[in-house]
Amino acid sequence: MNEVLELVFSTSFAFSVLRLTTPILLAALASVISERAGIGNITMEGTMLISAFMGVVVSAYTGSAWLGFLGGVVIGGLTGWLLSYIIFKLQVNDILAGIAINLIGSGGTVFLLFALTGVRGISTSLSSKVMPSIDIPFIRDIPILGEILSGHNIITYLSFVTVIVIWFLLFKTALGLRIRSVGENPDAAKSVGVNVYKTKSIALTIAGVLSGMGGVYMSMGYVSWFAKDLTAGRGWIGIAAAAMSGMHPVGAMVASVFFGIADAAANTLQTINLPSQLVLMIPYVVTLIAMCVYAYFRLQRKKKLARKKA
Amino acid sequence: MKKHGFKKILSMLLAIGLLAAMAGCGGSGTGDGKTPAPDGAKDPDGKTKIVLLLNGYLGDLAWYDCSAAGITAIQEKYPDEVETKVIEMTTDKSKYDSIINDTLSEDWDIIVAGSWTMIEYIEAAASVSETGVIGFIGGEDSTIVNDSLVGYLEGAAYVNPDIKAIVSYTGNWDDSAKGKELALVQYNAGADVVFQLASNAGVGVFEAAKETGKLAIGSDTDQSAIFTGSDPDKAAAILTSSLKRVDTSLLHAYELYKAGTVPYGTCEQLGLDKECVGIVENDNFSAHVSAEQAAKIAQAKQDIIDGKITVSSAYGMSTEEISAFKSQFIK
Repeated sequence: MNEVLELVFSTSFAFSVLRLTTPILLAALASVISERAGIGNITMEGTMLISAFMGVVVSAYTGSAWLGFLGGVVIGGLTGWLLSYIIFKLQVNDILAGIAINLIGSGGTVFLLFALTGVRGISTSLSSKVMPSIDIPFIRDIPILGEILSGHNIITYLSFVTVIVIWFLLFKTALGLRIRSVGENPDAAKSVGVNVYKTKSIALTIAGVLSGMGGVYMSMGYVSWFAKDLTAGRGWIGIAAAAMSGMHPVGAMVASVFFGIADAAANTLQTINLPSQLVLMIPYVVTLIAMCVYAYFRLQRKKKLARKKA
Repeated sequence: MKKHGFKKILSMLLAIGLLAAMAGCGGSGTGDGKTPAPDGAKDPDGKTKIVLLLNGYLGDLAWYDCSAAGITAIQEKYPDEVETKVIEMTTDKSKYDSIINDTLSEDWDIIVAGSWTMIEYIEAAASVSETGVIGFIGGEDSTIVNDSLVGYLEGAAYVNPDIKAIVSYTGNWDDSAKGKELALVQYNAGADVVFQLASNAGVGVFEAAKETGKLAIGSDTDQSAIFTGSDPDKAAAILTSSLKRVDTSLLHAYELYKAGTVPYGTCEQLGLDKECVGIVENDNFSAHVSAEQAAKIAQAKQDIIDGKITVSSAYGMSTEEISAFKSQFIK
């Protein structure tokens, strides 16, 4: 047990928390901006897979990690735009459209992988590139903190910068105001001349770009290949994190870090001889408990407000 | 009008996407259903028809690929007598019954299915471990995986009775990021050699080994050979691979079939003596293992073949027995 505590309080534990948080955080931010625009967007998992695959393929054929990153992010944005087209122009239910895109993400990538490499499971035969890890000057030299914060993949830093960018976009810009207004009351927004469709599709495209970054991180940062269902449910956990955050970017960051800690703790607890089935459950049980606690407090607040009005 | 045209194309694209999704998820089963008709016509040639059913996908660079290689080996060795086919049943267990029934109703002479009982023995890990702590990462906490674990731990204890082990499971066979994460935790906890048995998820272990400069052991086929071309550093981090020569076993089984001596209904154990299991001894292996250690490993191998050392198997062990066995080694 002491050894586990030693591992939990080591710098590499905190380092792994940030590494585990990155894809969840990006998916959570994508969910936040979609929900703010009033769309039930469940495509994070599928979009991440499509972008993860695209990143590997583009970087393998161009030999450039940055072009791979760009390719992954652009296809992510396109997927988001496609979703908005299906939902608003073709009038398809958002959840059904989301399921279709998730299926294309998990099955379509395997199909294309097979077409390209002749292998169904993994892209190791393509020599794809990896996004660089960065040592931050000054911070690097601070004891403990430097070991935790420095040396991460560049997309990990980007994901935390994105929290501020999305916060600024949603609450400090005219576009953000429009996104929130079409989400809360599309008819009122329309009456004052806001183009509802355009605003919603911008929000979904941004969500696609964010999921795309998460996908590229999985295949070109976390590991260095694309594999079938590489994201393994991280997109879904991201949606749960966004639901817990009260649809606020900073809240999404806190919730994602919380999931990162749960994941890292589960991995560390495996080193002692606990039943593996029990330990593997931890992140999911934590999700469930956190959702219940959040729902309880929201209900309390609503009751309080109702009492005040009465 | 133009807009309408675009919509049509889009819905077609979506339909193609869904088809692609289905093909990706396991189209192989349905695609193969058509083949018996033309094959049936060819039957007068007197060819032996062999079909291999895999409970997963090709492309795991390990178990399934190795089985398929066995089928190819039979085809190459006896090109005039056999006709072979590999069906990937995928990991979707609900499909197994119907695919197996379909296959049975077709005119195959030999149907190869299921998993193999393998007894293996790796002590290389303990020989090269300097910290006295070794790691194991399995795909799931099941008998087949634990069987390898038992062989691994016994082998390690044979060389170093005080050896300690860390055992983790990814809980699935796909999540290679989790495989990497678990391996990093194990290396961090003091393990310097980690044996992975987790299909695609296990490939993450090699990356963790490369980044930390520690060693990993692959499974089923020589997994360092896979990376020698695309990523030499990663190949160098793979100490050896435990071989389960499914390909050799299959060829062996077919030869028995030809001779008419297949012991139907019994379970034949193919071990070190028939070269059906073993470990890879390549340049990378010799770089980390001294001649003396290698000689000791060869001696142990001979002792197992002669029956001087008996290796336990997780088959027939109850869950309690396995966890008791594990706790002997866990620190």
